[in-house]
Amino acid sequence: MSGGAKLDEVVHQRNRLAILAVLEEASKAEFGFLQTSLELTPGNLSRHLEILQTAGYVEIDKGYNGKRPRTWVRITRAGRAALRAEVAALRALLRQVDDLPTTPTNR
Amino acid sequence: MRSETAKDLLAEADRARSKARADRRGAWFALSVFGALVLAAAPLYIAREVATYADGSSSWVSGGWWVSLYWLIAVPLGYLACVRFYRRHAERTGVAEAVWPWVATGLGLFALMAFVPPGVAAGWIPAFATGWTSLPLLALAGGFLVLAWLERNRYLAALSIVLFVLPGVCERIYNTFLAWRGFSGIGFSMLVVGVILLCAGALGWMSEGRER
Repeated sequence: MSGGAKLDEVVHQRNRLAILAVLEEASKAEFGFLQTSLELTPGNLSRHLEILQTAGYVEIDKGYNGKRPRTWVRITRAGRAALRAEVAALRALLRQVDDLPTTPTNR
Repeated sequence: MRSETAKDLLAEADRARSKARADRRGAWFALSVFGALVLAAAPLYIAREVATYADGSSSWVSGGWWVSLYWLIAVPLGYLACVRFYRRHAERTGVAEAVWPWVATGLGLFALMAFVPPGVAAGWIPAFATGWTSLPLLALAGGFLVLAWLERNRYLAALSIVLFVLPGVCERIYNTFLAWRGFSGIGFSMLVVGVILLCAGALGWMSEGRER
């Protein structure tokens, strides 16, 4: 990408960016909530969460509510920083595109 | 990367964020609980005639130890009910709100206002027994301001700011225009603030239901 803004490959992915955006908004979110609100399959969501967890961007807490298993996910400090950096880089890119002089057209 | 892609990524993240925000909100419950508690406090401020003078005028006093007792029990119970509600709400929706900063601020302000300034002078008698009767409302307003920030709720923020000035305005209106025999300005402001909180709670409940 031009302009020197560095994108984090872990966060620079539609679903993982959305997962972090949801988690930044709430103190924690349940697996089922993430799955329905982001319209992901369980397998797909698990894979994205695994990548985010390996990068240290989320923490996963598996427990029970009565007999029902529940998986809660929360964002870490590093995850917040990565999300903010990604959003800033995307906004910077959009600003650069807006600032580009429009190409004159030949008539 | 194409700018459309960047725009799409940001839009997608914002959509997901908005959905989580709408689902985690529960301020309507807090407004309803504290609205009911404030409204229930109004009768405690009914004034008593303490002296009658030769010219026919009389002195009235409102409040007393029962007012302190009421607030000392009602406010912690109110917060407890809200914490339980937010926990159940999180279990139901799958998205949790960090309400501890709100609870800590609300209870902290309440304790500070109840015991510290006049309490020290009055031998640790809660301030609400010594005439500082609109203080519970100010402590609630401060707490709601923190809740508004946590929930990114600008309507709640505006209401919190209004709550800071409303008791004073209500008391002035009451003393200037109404002054019903046997009631008091602070009782009147409890009545008004309680009704406003309940209405705000009902409106919040309806709008949050619509957003979901």
